[in-house]
Amino acid sequence: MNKKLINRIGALALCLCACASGFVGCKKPDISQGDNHEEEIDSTKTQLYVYNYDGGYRTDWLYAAKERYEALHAEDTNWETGKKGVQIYVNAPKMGIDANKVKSNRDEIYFAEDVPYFGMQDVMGGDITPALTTENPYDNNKRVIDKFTEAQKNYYGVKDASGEMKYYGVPNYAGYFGIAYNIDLFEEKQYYIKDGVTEFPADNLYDCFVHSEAEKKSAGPDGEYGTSDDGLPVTYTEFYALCDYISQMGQTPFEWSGQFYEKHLTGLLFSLVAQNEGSQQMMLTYDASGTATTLGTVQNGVFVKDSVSTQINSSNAYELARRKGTYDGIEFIRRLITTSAWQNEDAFKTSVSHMNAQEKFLKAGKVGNDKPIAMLVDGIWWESEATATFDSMTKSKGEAYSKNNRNFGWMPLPKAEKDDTHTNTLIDDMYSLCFMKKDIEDWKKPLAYDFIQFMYSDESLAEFSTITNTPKALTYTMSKEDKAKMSPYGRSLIEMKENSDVIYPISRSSLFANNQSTFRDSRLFTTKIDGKIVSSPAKAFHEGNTDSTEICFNGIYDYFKNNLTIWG
Amino acid sequence: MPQGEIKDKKTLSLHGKKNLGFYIAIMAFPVLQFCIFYIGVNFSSLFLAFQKIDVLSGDITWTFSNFSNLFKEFSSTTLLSDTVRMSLINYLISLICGTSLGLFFSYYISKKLVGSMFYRVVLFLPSIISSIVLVTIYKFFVEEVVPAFWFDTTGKTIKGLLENFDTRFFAIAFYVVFIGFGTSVLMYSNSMSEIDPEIIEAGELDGVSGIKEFWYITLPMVFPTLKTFLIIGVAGIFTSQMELFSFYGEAAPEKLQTFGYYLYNQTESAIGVSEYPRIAALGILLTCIAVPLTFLVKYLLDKYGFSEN
Repeated sequence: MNKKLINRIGALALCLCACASGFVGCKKPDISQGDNHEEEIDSTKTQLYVYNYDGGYRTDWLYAAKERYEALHAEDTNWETGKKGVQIYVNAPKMGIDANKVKSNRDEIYFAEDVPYFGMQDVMGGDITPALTTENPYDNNKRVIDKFTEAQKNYYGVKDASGEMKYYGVPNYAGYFGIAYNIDLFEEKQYYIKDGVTEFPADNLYDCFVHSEAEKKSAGPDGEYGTSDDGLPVTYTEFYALCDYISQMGQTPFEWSGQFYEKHLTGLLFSLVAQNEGSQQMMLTYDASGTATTLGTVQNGVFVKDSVSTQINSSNAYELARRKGTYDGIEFIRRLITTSAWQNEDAFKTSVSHMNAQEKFLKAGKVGNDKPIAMLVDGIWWESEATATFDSMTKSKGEAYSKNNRNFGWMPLPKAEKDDTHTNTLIDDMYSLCFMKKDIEDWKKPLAYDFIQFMYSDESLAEFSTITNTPKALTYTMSKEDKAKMSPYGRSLIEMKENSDVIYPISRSSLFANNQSTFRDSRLFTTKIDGKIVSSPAKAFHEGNTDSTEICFNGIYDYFKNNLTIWG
Repeated sequence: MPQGEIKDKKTLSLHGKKNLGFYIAIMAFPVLQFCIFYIGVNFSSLFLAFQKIDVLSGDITWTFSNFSNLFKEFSSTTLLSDTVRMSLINYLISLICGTSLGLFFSYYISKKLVGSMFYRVVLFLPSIISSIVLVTIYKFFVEEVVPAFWFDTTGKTIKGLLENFDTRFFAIAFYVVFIGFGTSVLMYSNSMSEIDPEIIEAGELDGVSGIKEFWYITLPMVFPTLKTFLIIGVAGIFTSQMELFSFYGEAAPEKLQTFGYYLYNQTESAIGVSEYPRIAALGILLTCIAVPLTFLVKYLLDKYGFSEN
């Protein structure tokens, strides 16, 4: 072989390597696993093209619905002349959408995340009012709109020129950040607070926790004995004691993604603030209207509530940065970040992605030498996202390691104050939406409406929940039979949603509508420390900008009041 | 005029028309693209900078408030000075390390010394491999492999180079310099290969050393290419992200953020058209600084730079 030929072969090989690098992450699709696939278009049927963002919630639920819908409409001849049946053609990339992509895609129905709703009727969303406001034949003639909360109805309803209310989207996934905990580990080690314990001395935590099932656990966050949250921490003090105790027992209290530590811990902070404030006070941020009763200042390291409440409007809404819930939430995050004994060793390693963290959480104490990990900071979709890890563990170690046979739960977040009695509160800032493409052909609109109604029937919503083990961002109930199909984690999550106030941080106030990014959790806790803008308390503590909750808290107020120029 | 000449002229004219048609066919698309994605986009930004948009009513009002608001936003913080400082450091590193090493490697390659083709390929690889793949590999290398190697060698545990506050800037700067070699080395070495061998030979006969050959012959001959890179570098000072988005997404540590990263992050996380005017105003202010600076550098390079003569 001459030198020239070798050079050419070498060059060709390099070209192929370079081209192949663009396909890293792609693998042969496995349709049985709900993978995105290139399906053949069946020319004998009418197609409806459906997009889904194949993220943490995956696409298995859509394939299941597709199968049922196609079977139900196998004999339909009314959509196109000469065609029989409907084909739901699923396109599920791991890539978000925007107005330009919607315009150029052939997809007609979208299930997407983080969709800006204002003005979407002008650029990408079609009117789906008939699908929402008429009786749903798939749902005993209930209407989809009746599954909206009042806040959702106000937000998604847009009055047209004639004053008629129109809808351009339906809420899709629910998404809350918080803490998942390993119930198997809690049961095995009895990480439950003993009933009647009020003091947690650092040198005698052992006596504060139960050691056998015979000992009575505390009533837990719901205040009732004999429920699933018995023995779980109610206050921050109890929670810190739990973390110290787990650490003293030689195990790791927390895992989170090193790469996304800021995102996940700020998401947790957002949930903690909502839990502390409750839905009524929390919604002031978005409505920019109402009476704030939890504002105050920090004096000598102690939060002191204002003696009078403050009337909030769009010109002084920055005052909401002085909430007690925010102060307490920041203190909680400070403890998490600055207590290395509570963290896994890779808590800030940028090579540890959210999926690596999930894998470590699942495998710790089971595979390899890692100590068992008690809790994971992530979004509610983590279990669905970790499906591949569950499957590989099941394959290598047996059925006991499957989703349905491992016990995880979604932990009710503790509150700062013991006497805080308001209902458990969740906050959903996923902004996930189902919508119809604006310029869908007219003859296809009835089919699109029909499919949306099908997807939002109780049966489909329950099916979604049983497959993903997460709820959708609507109000619906699940039967005992449906819940029995879920993993223990999914059941705990659904039950928590059923017993909680869920805040949807949306509003039609001008302040919110025109400055939406400011009100996302990623910006809502931006602080100013020594003149430097830091995007979150989590980062400020980790990066060493400060180790003081007070400085961080005051910095948020300073930044919102003096640097933001959005106030009316 | 003789008959033959008239015929030739007609033939040429026809040939010219064909050439023109070909030229139009080739150029139409790039020109259209330039009109839409450069002229159109920039004019749109210019108008946006003076608008206030209400997404609820769709009303647009003309205002200077986007600019005054920016001054208020930046007035009591170090954000602007910190990001500009990092942008300048990034530029200086690219200039000092990237350009000088790029020229050195290109000279080495153009002299066809040992392993020159290997270096040419290795240095160009980052330009053809997907950026996200490269960042992932590099991240894994500095966060996992380096600490593991250090532990195996010394028995001591160290943090990953990106996790460690003291080393993360250098880890990123090294990556930025490394991936910057691809295009520059290709251009410099191509430019060097076009130098007339007789000039080099004449120098060798006169006993010119390698360093003198590089300084007195090669560098002046490739200076037009070098100048282009230097001017483009200045124009990009405030838009360069230092690859921070690839490494950190939207959560890069503030201490590392360049102005380009800040601007990109603001645009990327904006929700709805009402948030774009502020960013457009920021872009306009930036342009007001970058344009004269670029022309100044061009003027200085023209006046004081190397001459081929």
